[in-house]
Amino acid sequence: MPRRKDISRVLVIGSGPIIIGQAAEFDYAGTQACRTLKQEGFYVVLINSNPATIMTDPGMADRVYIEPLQIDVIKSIIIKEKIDGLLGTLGGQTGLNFSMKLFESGFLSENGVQMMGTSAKSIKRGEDREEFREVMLRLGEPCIPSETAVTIDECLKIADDIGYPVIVRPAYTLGGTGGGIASTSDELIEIATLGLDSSPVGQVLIEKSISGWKEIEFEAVRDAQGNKVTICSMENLDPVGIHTGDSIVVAPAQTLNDTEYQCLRSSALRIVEELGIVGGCNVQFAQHPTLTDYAVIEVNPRLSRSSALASKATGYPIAKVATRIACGYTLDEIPNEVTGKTKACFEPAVDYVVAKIPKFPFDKFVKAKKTLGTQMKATGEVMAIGNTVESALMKAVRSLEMNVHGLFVPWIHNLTDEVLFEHLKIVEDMRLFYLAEYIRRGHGIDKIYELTRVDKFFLQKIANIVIIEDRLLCCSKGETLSDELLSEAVRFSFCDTYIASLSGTEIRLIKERRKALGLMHTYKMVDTCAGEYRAVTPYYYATFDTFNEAAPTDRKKVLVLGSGPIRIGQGIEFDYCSVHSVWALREMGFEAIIVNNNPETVSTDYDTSDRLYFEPLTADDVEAIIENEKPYGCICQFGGQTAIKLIKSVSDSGTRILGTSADMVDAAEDRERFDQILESCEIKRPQGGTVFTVEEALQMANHLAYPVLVRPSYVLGGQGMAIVNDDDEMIEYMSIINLVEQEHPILVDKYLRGVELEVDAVCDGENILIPGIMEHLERAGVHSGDSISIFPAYIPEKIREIIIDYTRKLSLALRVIGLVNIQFILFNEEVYVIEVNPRSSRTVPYISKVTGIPIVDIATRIMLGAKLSDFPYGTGLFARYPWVYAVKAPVFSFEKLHDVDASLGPEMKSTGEVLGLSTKYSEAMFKAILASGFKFPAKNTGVFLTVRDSDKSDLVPLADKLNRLGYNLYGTGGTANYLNRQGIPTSSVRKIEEESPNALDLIKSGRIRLLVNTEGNASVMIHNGFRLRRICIEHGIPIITSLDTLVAVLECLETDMKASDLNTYEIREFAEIVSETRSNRIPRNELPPENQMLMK
Amino acid sequence: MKKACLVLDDGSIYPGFRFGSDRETVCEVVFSTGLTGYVELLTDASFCGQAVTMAHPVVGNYGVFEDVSEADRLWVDALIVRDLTHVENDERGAEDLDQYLKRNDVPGIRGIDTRALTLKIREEGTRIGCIVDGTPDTLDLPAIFAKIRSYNARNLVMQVSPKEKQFYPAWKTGWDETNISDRREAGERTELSRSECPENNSKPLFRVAFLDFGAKHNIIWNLTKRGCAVTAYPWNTSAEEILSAAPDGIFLSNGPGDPVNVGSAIAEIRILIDSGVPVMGVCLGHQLVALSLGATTVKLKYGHRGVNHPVKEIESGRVYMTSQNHGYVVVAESVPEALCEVSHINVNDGTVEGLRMKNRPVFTVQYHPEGTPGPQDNNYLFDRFIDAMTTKSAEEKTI
Repeated sequence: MPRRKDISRVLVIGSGPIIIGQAAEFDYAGTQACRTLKQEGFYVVLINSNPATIMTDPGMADRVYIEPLQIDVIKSIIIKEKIDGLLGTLGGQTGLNFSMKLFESGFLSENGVQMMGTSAKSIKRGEDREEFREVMLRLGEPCIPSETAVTIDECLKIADDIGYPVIVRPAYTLGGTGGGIASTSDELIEIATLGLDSSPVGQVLIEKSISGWKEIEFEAVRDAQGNKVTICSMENLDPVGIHTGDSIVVAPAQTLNDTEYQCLRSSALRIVEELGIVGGCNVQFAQHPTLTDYAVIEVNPRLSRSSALASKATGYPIAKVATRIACGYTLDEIPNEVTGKTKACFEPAVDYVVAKIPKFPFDKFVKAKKTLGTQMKATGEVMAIGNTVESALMKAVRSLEMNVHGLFVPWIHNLTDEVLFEHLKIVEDMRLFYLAEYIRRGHGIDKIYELTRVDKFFLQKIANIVIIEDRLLCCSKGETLSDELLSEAVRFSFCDTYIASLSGTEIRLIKERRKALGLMHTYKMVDTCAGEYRAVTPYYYATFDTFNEAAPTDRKKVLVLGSGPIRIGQGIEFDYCSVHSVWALREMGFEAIIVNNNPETVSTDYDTSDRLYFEPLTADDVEAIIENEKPYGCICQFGGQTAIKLIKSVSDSGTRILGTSADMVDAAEDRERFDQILESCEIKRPQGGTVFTVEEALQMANHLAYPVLVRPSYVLGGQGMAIVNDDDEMIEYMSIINLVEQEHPILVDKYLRGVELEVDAVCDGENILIPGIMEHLERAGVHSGDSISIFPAYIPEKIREIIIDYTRKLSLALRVIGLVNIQFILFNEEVYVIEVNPRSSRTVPYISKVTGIPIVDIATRIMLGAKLSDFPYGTGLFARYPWVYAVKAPVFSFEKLHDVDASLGPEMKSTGEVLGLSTKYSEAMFKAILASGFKFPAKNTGVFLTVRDSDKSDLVPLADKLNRLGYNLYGTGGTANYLNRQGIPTSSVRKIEEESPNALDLIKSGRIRLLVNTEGNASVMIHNGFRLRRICIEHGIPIITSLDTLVAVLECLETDMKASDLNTYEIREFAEIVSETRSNRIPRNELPPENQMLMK
Repeated sequence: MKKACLVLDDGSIYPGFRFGSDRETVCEVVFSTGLTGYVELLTDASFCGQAVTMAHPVVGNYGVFEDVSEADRLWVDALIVRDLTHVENDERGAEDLDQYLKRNDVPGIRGIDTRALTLKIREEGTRIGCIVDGTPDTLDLPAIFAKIRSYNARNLVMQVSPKEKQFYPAWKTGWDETNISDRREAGERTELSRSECPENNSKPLFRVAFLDFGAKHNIIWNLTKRGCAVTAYPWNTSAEEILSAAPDGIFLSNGPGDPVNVGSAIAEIRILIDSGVPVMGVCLGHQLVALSLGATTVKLKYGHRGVNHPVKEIESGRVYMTSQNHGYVVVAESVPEALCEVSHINVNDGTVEGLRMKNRPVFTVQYHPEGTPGPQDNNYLFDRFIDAMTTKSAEEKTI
């Protein structure tokens, strides 16, 4: 069937900021969708609030709106752009929910907009629990006994009927937010309360728990004519009960026999047929481990994280095919781009094993509850491909960047039997390693199966790895490493480093012996058809076999290192940078080769680069690729810390580093070398020094004068960083940090409570280009990734010049070629440098889009010899006085992570970001805060204030404003008294730990719609406010932990803006305003008053 | 771990390790891309005389249950895998694949770069190979090549077809009933299991004459469970004998090898077709019908063996996923237009996947509607056969 002609202007709704449960996979799906729609000749309009995405790049769509994902904003864009088609099934649950809202309100039909792909009716039948169950009943598909409830009483009654334990699943939520398993009525009351609250429709499903069954997923695609195929089966290593996003997943399903496999496959196809899916769909099953019984758990009538995984696992581009189907094509008309010969109407055959392992944020949130369940907690994932289960697991494990190369983890090895057993009884993030350790201690597979219900197949494979590890460990105790053992380890994809460390040998010797035995990396192609047809897609993974399919071409090649899994501190922005670098290289005529291991991303789409190596980003794996490809050079500065930490090994291997040298990267990171550079440039940094003991720390802190910033050296993303205000806190901090023996000293720096400023610059070795200067709303002390960032910065001319000058000096001193990111503090009208990162940063995508300067493209070309003078953007500061505001706000996932403190500090906690654009400051701020998911409190509701003593005087004018705006103020004793004395009526409330009625009762009463809480110490481990903040999060009450943020929120409340009144800006048009107004001599807007407050 | 090699007729050697039987074997080396169903595959007579390379690298994962066998014995000559899973203390009591092969004297070789081997077969066509003990430097290559040269494809059908007539009563599928509900039913929840056919009805609806060229059991079960009493005849039974039993329908089964080797059956099949009795043919049966109508067949370079082949039904435009296992194919241009039309084609390579006669209730498909291994999406073709017999008997009644 030809492409439908009744639609010409299509709106694509993106998924918004990265949060737990909704990550980069929707940038991948959305990017494919936009490109496909454009290829098909549609006029494509995109809305997404997330500026770090590739899909929001100018050029991905005809019109790109980086605007808050709010129903009123979407409506206004639909009208403004005369939209007649809507594609809502590629923007995750967010896109789907908006599409449904637009449909159900009648807005779509009133405005002549048709839904493309799966119809609203079909979506509802898949999403609504009741309707879905009816469909399953009609089909005769087994379901797990369950009922929906809207009240706690109903929940209890249902649970009594079907019997405990029961699973609570809230309707229409992301990543199972608010769900859980309840074994008793008390637990049920607790979980269901949260669940009902989390569901936007106030509905939960109470379901019989079927723990111990296998969890299997199928991805299916169906066209409007009824042709349907399954793309991939996936099997969770853990039995049902663990969110699939948090499970280790193996594809294709390994333990099903043909009868079971076909049974589930047929069921999936019957379901997509009955629902009337037109596009992609995910079906989750529970399969009884020994009987043929199965049950349908749920379907997702849209593209999902699993479909991204299935696409990468098979090479079948589900999002692209689903989009073509939405355009009206049938499966047999859509070409299979991988083979170039066959059609999309087939089921991929897979001749390798794929393992996906989730990446958890518990390295950041050390105190968070690590138990896994129905609520997703992982921020990202890695995937690895091998020709055995063992090798896929080994590659995936080292892709996680946990400093672990295999299943042997020393601290787990040192646990007592009792503690290990406790860890194994519950499911936790480190489960794979606990399982391995348990096997290592001689417990039989049968026993572990009884305990964990992990299929014996997987336990056997884990045991196979453990056996090799133990044999290698014996080699370190005097046994000789035999050729046979070495071969076996290598065939399981043990890397040289790991073999060397286990066996106590030098890496170099292992490498030599391996090569002498002829055990070389042989790259195999992912071709969708298990080799049956000749494929043209250069998508490779390493094995140790006989035949290497990745014969290098004779073109000039550049290798780009990707950024690995999405985690806090390293998000999708680095994928944006890697992809843009690849695109620039391709345009320049180089063969662009990328290495990455994140299945959610655009960079691992097979047609992004000329060659994709889906491999771990470790020194060993990258070296092998370099040996195979012998590239002209390697780019390490776009893939975040993951890539930059490989620069030394790549450089040592004799490969040309394109961009800033490994030595200079080291100079920027090494405190002593960096201090020397600052000195030579005559640039100040906050005073500080290094200490080991409590005594030294106290001495240093008193020498510098409190407050001081303390942190362990050699950590990323502000981990373990704290602001310390007095001796007591210092003693406490040091005692906690020294619980673990510190190899490196603790850094103690003077903490300057000033305005934080940030630049990204491009340097060609002679000149610099700064697209714009950004200012952080929150004063220094809140991690730059967690603060609201405002472009342009409002600073005196003199300061602006100093920043340009410092940026130039530092770039030249560090011999930067390409990108550099510098953070400054403006304190008492003096500029201090706090950090220099000679690499891309998280602000690059946003500042690129806002200024219209293709920063990564320019940087890439400069690395290959171009000069800034070759581009039309000049040198120095580009956007000096633009008549715009671009406000970037952080987005958090606190409601997904129990026991994580929501208070902001030097340690980064946000998972994503949004952007607010306007020519008016207040509108830009409002948009950013709105888009971040902050629920502005309605007038006449309560605001609960409890701040530290040093903030009390600053709170007065803000509380006064709140009072005058009509909010009812509540405060804990000290804060309330202080405000009352200042004439601001504030009701005093007892603290949460005091007797009832107290703050908890107040929160439960529903009268509070905002909490403002600042802490005396943001990071020392005991927090009075911790419970208060958590309770607010669990009640959906927004939290502000910095008065600077409150200032911005108040600004929004005062103007009383509404989402429906907002001006929307197409991103290229916005960048044009920046470009046109950039060199005005005087800023159009006055300095926002609150910034003046910051300046004091 | 006993070292062994796969030696191909072009001199290439793939070193690996033995499993299964220690027997040395010479056979045609083919590959299958299916993920699951190795027991079904091992017992499929169409693989007689072949060593099957499993494209999926990890094999043996769920062990062996013989009740999913497609024949009373194993027919595959040898199994070639990348990585073999051993099953111990299986929760359901499955047998280990290695043990199963040992017990049935079928050799296997593991540790092979199966993808490289698959690509070689894809590029160069299927090859004759020998699985032999030893390492590449210890092999007696001249002797091995002599054995490979002496390999000739026998009349494989003669080898696998039953020697005597066999009866399969209606409403029974040959398996123990409890096993059926345990292992099969869920996988075959087709229209039939919910059809109006009365349970425990022992009276057959139709009597089907089944020409057995090496049939898979599940084809027969698909007929019997639809109420057909099936009489399976040896491959060389005369049309006269078959027609003398006045069957309601005639089924031509799958089987191994080149259809031309079954020459003597072709003329008989033409008589069967012309009798006006409804005929359904699958795989080899399909090719034989084509030959009997004057069409020709040709050997595919490396065949279709897998469970993911898209086939388009021309009339409806619908595409179905099919299970396939064949090395030969009907030449589209040779199909006599006056007599029949191509009803199905392969979406990937455009080859003929089905034929339908214009004036006769005869239809055939190249693929396996019974699946096992593979999709159950095409079970509906058996219903069509039933429909054809129903129509025919209704016509006869009106006459």
